Amino acid sequence: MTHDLTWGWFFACLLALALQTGVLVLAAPWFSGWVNRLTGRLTGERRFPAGGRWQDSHHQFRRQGLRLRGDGLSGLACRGALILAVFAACMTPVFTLVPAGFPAPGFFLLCAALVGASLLLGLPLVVQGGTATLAGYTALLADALLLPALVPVLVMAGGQDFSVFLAHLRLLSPAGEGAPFVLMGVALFLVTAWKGRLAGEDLQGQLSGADRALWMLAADCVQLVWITLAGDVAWAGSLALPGDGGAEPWLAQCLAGGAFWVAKLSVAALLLAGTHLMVLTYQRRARVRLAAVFLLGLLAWQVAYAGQSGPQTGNKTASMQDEQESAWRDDGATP
Amino acid sequence: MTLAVILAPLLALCVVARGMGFLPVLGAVTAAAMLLDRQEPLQEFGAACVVLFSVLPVWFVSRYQDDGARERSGPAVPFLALGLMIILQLATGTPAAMGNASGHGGAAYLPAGLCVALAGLVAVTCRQAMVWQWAGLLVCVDGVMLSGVIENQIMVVGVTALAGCVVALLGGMCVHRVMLRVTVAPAQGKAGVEHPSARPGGFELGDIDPAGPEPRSLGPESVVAPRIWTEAEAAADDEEPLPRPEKTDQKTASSTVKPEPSIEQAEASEGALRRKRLLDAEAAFSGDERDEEAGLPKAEAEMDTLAPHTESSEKTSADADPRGTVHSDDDADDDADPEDTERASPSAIKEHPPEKRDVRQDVEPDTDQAEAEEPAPEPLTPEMIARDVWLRGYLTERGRDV
Repeated sequence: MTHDLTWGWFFACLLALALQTGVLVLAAPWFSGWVNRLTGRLTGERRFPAGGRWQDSHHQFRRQGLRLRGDGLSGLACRGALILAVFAACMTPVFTLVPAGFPAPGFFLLCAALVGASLLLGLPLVVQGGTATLAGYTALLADALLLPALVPVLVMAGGQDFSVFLAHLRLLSPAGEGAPFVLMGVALFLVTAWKGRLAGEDLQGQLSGADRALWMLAADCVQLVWITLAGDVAWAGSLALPGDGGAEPWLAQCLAGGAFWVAKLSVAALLLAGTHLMVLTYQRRARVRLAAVFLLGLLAWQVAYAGQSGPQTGNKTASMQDEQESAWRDDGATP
Repeated sequence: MTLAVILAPLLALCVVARGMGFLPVLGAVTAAAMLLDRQEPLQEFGAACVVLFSVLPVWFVSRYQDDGARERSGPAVPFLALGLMIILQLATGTPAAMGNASGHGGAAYLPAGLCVALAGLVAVTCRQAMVWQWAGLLVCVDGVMLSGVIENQIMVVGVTALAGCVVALLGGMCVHRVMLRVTVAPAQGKAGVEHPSARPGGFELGDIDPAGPEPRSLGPESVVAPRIWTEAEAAADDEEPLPRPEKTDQKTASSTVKPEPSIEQAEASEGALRRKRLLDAEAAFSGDERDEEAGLPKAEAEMDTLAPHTESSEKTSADADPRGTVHSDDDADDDADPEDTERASPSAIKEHPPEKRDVRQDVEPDTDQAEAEEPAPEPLTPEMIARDVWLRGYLTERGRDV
């Protein structure tokens, strides 16, 4: 990991990050529509094709909104949610990691951005009142409790950069030593599993016009970012790491990483459609989700702990040393 | 430490949460975990046992109907199992505990077999349905077997295999004793092959009349028909020598009239269709299998009545159905309609003179004969009666729920 971050790599990484963000945001409605269609296929209903969700968002965006009470605040919440979701998408590795010297966020920041986006998405329901207020408060409470439930997972990732963490995981095979992190990925996946389309349908029914389109896009983005995160943690080996060789192997790895990402998404869509088959009331779904996330995270942490306790401290110190070295190098380079 | 070792407790949790359907997957993953660990005869034996114990019971239960047991335990049960797993992991997986244990130093460690067994115990304790508890016991067996194989304990594996056999056998006997088969009457011949799969035990509320279901095969026809059939058989035996010479006459007569049969047969098939539809409406849900089965012979019988001079119909039905020709000779002027009315009101049969009974017997007893040729006639099996009783209770319960 003692990689010299040159300007060429810097711009290449910026380009890759922009590409990743664009791909995530653009693919989110497709993925959502895909899951919806798959759920319909499993339950024997006919639903819209996968692109229908995207068309719906596009159509809603051009419509005039009805002015309701509290519309200004809910519009603000929708915009904020979309910004946070895109910010989280920008930080999530889709097919490539960033090299060591590149400024990368921690896992906690990523999760906090996603949870914040979820909270903002639940806000319009509470603001507009009506019959769905209770469900809105439940959604807010569930999303607020999500961050405490994620504590074991956050502890597993530690305080290091997410990219560095994934670069360590990259060396472990998911079928062997990296198996506890598959459990961690499952815990992350369950965050979205019982989020449920039913609640989403209720929520967006209150909005209209461009707010509604933004709400739908932000919700899809949050879902896809969680899924991508879970896939990254479960199998980090598919991500490309710049600086291993030249630029050409990196590009090839990026292409392979993109293909693996699509494969992971298809598996996740199947599993998501399967979880949609479970019929649970909204409150119960929230409880099941929180408990599953917390307990699975705890189990993953415990399983990984025995293996990680010895080496990880060494890795952590090594990575911190790396960071310090790179920081020193940056400091030395910039003046 | 492989992925299969991690996945096995998760699948055991799925069994606790959703039921027996995950058991084959759990067996496959457990077997994979054993074989990936090491490939020796002990591991192979354990893997084979686990696969057997998890696939065979599910296949066995799939031959029985869902007993519709109401489950009162809530969705918290898998979380209890998960919490217990965490406590178990805390007790065994920490470095302090692993310092005593040998061989696991440094590597990530999960007592997967014990976790799976724990999940099975939770399923046995907290779930109320019999099949679910059986699945929990089998999960226990899987878990103990996995842990024995991983720790290389021959005695544990052997005893667990024995216990697994006992659990599987006893559970299978309980299931056989309590639950009802999906295929009710295996002696249904050709119709029995296609029907039970098309309607596996469950009944739509739509095809049951609101007054309550007519118990299967206890309707008036099935009670009355066998007696009539025996009488009619006796009558047919008496009249057996009569039709023979006339039949040959008819054959010679029909050989002269060639172009007729196609039209006549079309009419006959139309009549058969109409009759079949009537029968369908009459026997709301119970008689379907019999109707389908009876469709062909009935059509033949009808060809007899409508076109007694056609050679083809003579050929097909002459050997199997002499009474049809008897009837056609006796009541050649009677067409198909009186039969319909008679079948619609089966109580009127008793008041009819014997030759009218003959008219009935060439339609009805055909079906009964087809059944009576089989070893188990429908109305008499205790299985059927048990099914009726159960079906009544089930449907009233369903109706109350709705």
